[in-house]
Amino acid sequence: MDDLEIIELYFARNEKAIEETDKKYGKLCFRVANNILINDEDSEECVNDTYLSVWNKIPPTRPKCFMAFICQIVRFLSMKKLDFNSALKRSQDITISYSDLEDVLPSDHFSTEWEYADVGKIISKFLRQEKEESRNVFIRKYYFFDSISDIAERYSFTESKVKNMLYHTRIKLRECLKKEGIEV
Amino acid sequence: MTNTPKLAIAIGYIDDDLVTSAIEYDQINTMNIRRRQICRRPAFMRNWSRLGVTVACLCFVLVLSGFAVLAMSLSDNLPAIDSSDIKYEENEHSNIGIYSTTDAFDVFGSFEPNGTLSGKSSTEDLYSFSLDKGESKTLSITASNGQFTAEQDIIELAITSQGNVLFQYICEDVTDKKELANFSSTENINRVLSNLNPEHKYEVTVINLGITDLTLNISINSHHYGCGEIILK
Repeated sequence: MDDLEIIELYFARNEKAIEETDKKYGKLCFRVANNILINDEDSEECVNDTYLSVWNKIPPTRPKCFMAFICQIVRFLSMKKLDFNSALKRSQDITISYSDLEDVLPSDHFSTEWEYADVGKIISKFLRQEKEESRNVFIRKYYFFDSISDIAERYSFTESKVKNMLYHTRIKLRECLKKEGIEV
Repeated sequence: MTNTPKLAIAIGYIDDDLVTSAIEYDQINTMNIRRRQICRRPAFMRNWSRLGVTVACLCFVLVLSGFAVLAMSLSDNLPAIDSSDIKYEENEHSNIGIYSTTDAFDVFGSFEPNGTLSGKSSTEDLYSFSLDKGESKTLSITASNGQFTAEQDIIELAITSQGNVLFQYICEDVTDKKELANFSSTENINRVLSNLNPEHKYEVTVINLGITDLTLNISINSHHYGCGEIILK
C-alpha cells in the first residue's frame, strides 16, 4: 500500500491505517528509536506512541512525505524519552552525537528568538549545498543517530572517512549558523 | 527536553525531502553495492580459482621433485656421474681473468721428462705422463724468455684421475713464497695458470695418494714462440 492510501485510511479513521503503517514503516521506526534509546522495550513503546501521535495528527495534518513525517515523530518521541530517562542510560553513540552537536552550537548559545523550525530550515539550506554523500552521512548520523560503523558499512566507506566527512560538515555548519546569527 | 542539545532537536525539523533522499540514497546505494559485488564475484572467483590452480601445480611439482630426490637417494642403482664431465677452470692468481682459448694459440709440445718444454706444435699435442701410486712430481714453471705476456699466455694443467685416484695438488709462487692452491681430489681437474709474472718461478706438485696410476697432461698456451719452460723434477 502506498503512502497516500495509508493517509487516506487515517482520514477515514480506519484502524487498518496503523496496521499498514507498522507493516511499511515499523522496522524503520524501531531502528530510529533503538538508535537513540538502545533498549528494545523502550523503542517498542516509542514506536507505539508514534502510531498514536500519527493517529492524532492525521487529520487534520496531511503530510507531504509520510515517511519523513513518521521519522520526525519517532525521533522526537525517542529523544524525549531518552531525556526523561537518566543520562546514564544513554548509549555511547548517542552521547557522542550529542557531544558533537553541542560542539557545533552549545545549547546555551542558542538564541531564544529562533524557533527550531527556522533553524531546521537553515540547516536544510546548508545541507542542500553539501555533496550528496556528505549530506546523507550527516543526516544518517545526526538525524537517525546511526553509529559510525553502521554508516561506514551502509555506504561502503571506511570509518575514518565517515568521521572525516562528519567533522568537515560540522565545521561548515558551525560557520553557517554563526553567519545566520543563530549563535548568541 | 532539557538535556537534549537544541541543535539535535532543530535537526529534526530539516526538510522532509532531505530525510527521504537520505533513505532512498541508502537503498539505491545498497543496491548498487550489491550489484557491484555480484558483478565482481565471478572475477574474484576466477582469480581465486586461478591462484588455487597455480598453488596446486606448484605443490604437485614440489611433492613430485621431493619424491624423485628421495627415490634417487634411496636407490642403489644411481647413475654414475661421469667425473670427466666436470671441468675446473680456476686461476691460481687472485687478480686473473680467464682467457679464451678459441684463438690460435701456439703450444709447446716437444717436452722431454726432466727437460725443458720447447718447440711449437698444435694444441692437441699435449705432453702426458703418469704417476705411480705414492709417487709425486713437481713441475717447475718459468714463464720467461722475455716474450711471455702475462695477460695473454697461460699454462694449462689437466690431471686425469682414472678410477677416482686420490691425489694432492699444490701450486705455489716460489719467488714470492706464496701458496696459490693446495687441495686433494679424486676427480679430474683442469687447472689454468694465467696472468703469470714472467720474472717469477712457479712450482706445481702432484702427489698420487691413491693405489693406482694417475695421468697428467700439461700444455703451455702462448702467443709467442720460445717463451716459457716447464721442468719436470
